[in-house]
Amino acid sequence: MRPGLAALALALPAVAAAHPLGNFTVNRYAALRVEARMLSVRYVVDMAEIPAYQEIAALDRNRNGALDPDERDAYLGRAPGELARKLALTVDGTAVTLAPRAQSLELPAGAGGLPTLRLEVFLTAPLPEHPGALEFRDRNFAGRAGWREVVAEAGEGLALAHSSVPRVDRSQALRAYPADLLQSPPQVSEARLRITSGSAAPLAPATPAGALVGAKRFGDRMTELVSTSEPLGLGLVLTSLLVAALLGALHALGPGHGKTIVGAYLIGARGTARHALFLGLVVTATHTLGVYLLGFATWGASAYVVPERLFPWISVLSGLLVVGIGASLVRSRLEAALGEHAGRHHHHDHDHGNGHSHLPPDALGWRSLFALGVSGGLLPCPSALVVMLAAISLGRIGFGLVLIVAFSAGLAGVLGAIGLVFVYARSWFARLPVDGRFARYLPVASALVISVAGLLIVANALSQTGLLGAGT
Amino acid sequence: MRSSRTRRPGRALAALLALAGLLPAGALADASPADREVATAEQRVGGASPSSDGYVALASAFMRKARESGDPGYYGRAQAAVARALLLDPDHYEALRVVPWVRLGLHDFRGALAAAERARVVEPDDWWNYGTLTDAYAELGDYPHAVEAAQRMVDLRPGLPSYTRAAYLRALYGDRAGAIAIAKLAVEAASPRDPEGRAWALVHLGHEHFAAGDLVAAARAYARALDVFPDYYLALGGLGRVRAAEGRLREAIDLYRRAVAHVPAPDLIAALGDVYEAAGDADQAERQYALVEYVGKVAEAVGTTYGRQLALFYADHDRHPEEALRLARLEAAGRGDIYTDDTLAWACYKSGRLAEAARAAHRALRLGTEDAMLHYHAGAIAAALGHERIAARHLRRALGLNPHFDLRQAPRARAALAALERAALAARDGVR
Repeated sequence: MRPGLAALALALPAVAAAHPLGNFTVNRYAALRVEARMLSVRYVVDMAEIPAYQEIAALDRNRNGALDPDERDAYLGRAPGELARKLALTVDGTAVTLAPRAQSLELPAGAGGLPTLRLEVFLTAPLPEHPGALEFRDRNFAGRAGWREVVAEAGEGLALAHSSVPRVDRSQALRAYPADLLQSPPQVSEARLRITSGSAAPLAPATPAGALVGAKRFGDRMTELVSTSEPLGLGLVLTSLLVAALLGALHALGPGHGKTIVGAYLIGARGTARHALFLGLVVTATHTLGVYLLGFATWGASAYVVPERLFPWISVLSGLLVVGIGASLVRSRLEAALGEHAGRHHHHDHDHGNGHSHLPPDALGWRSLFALGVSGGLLPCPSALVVMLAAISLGRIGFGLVLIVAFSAGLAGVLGAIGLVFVYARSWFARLPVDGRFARYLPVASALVISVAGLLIVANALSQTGLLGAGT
Repeated sequence: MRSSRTRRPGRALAALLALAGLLPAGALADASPADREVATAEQRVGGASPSSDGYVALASAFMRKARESGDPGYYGRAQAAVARALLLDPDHYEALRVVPWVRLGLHDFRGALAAAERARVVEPDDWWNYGTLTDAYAELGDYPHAVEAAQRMVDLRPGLPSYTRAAYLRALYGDRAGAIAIAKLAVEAASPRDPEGRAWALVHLGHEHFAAGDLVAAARAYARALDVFPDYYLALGGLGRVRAAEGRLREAIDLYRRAVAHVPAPDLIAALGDVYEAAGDADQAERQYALVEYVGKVAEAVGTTYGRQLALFYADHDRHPEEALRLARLEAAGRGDIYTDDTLAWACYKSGRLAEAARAAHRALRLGTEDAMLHYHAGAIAAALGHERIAARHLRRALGLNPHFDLRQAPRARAALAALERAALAARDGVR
């Protein structure tokens, strides 16, 4: 407990581990098997020399230094239940208890013949006739260093449509740890499964080596496009591009990307189809560039920066841009509205000279439209960023870049289309016999909507950076 | 008014999830920062053409994991990863600069110094190299060079890594107030993105406050560390020591138990035993002491050792004095810092080698370090040699610096000082 440079690396003694994973590790393993109306779990705890000693010392009631049969039985009677209490299982959202059915205890010799401890418990839980989603979580020995592995498979007549964990383990149920030091111990203590009936067609790869396994859990089809290890055929490339564009389009329909703002702008600005398309183009370009930049920056700085930390700040930037646009629109439109009211004749003359203009009455015009497009595309879509990073890590950068363009194009297509809808809706709206004053202040109101939306974005983003209290 | 833009929290969550999707399955739920780093790096070397950069990232991630988890097994992994990087490219600079860091972790201090020197020759303006140089020099006991390297490091890059080293060296040179001031700077400089780094800086600050006898400030620093990085074993141990010093033994036991449950390090287990003993539970105390010995036995079986920690434990608890001396000498063979000298002094004293003990204690105090334990050991040795005045001065100094410096040893220091003062009084009366 003395102060020391310890900190930087030296806190720990130099110990070449006797137990392959270090002599104070507690290693945990769970193999789930989904069967008809039942889940079975083979749960193994492998304690290295030091925790084994602690456990044995606690069991050794008569202090004779050995585990007598009755001490052993007492332990086997108590330990499985204690372990089971910290194995959380939910099936379709309902908590289900895992009951221990059988157990065994071994004390395999470790370093210098000192004992290690291996406890194996077989547990089961009832399942409904047609289980859907299943979640398993191991809360035993939280925080204790060690190997933590969970695998899952389906029995006869069932299949896992989706699994967050592999089917085959790497440690042979904690009997044979990989000797390769570069294969770091898995740190997995939970599994999420989706069960379907039908013949077993495991989707989860046999080995967890594929770095992108986890991505599928989030239904992120995008990463699958680049994570395939097969050579890229033309058909695959074309399908991938199409899928990417479709995903971009779908993404644009989801929340975000300022559809409201685009709409409000175009309504207020009396935009035309040309404006809507221009907006779409700017969004595509900004989004593509944004993903490229952030992707490479994240890749380069991955040792220093946690990427998700960047998102709120980009949101702040994007929000501030929107606020700025909104404020300047409010000002110019208010001036225009007031001017129209005060000098009707003058304005009429002017209008007459210009012929039939539908251009926005703003001083900013195309420039503010451009800025709006930038703000819409500035926040890179996370799944696009994931694709980018996946492409980099798999050495398929070129393909990743192209996919991002397709994705952005799909995104912009939908945004542009929404813009067009707003444009036509407005011209239909304009034909309604509305009060003149209302029509005059409509642009101002829509500019206010933009400003408020921008402020909300900034406030939300700041709350995520932790600068503004707890946030939502 | 509802804007779709306002539903940003959901989006951010989605972003987080999608990014976390890059990690191997299941790593998300309770992945620590180091786990995430390991996963990211493994992905980089898992591709078709793994690069040296990827292996260097993996080595760094393993080093972080070692520090965060207290599991020294990760040093071997870091070593393997950096070796692979150098196999692919023997001149890879990023790998060269990581080598000394790994060697330090493996307690090969001479190897670390040579490796740090090699990296410094390649990039003399890289702040990092001065960090590894500082550590290697300090562990080898070459403090003037350690100070020089640390100064260069602070000049090149003021920040958490350089401040912690500066604070450490200041404390060694007897400037506790300066050390506390810089340790606070280090806390301020810690990145909010690195909770473990920040927690470590806070633990260091707590240690400095404790050494100065300021229990309240120490407790606050450790508690803040636990806020930032829950269940951090070093902070649990630090807070346990404060609670024990305050006489809140139940709380101390609970804290030490939690620390040991995470990382059963000999010094933490021994401290838990001391609290049990102070609480009158001799049976539990003995259980903990037996566990410390067992940890030593396991280390022996593996062919390596917890050296200093075990030597101190044996000497402190008057168990196996010869084993304490053997371990202390072994440690001193590869390490020359003042705490290794202090351990050697204490082990020599407990095995009756007073002359050697006095020489080592003198070396341990060569920088004028204001550390109660160092003065207590020096005082006890001086008393045994019959140098009463020197002994009393050291003991008074120890108790003045921090009356609670050790649950087990502080009362002994008080008793020894009282005996010396009684003897001095009796001698004076006798003269009269």
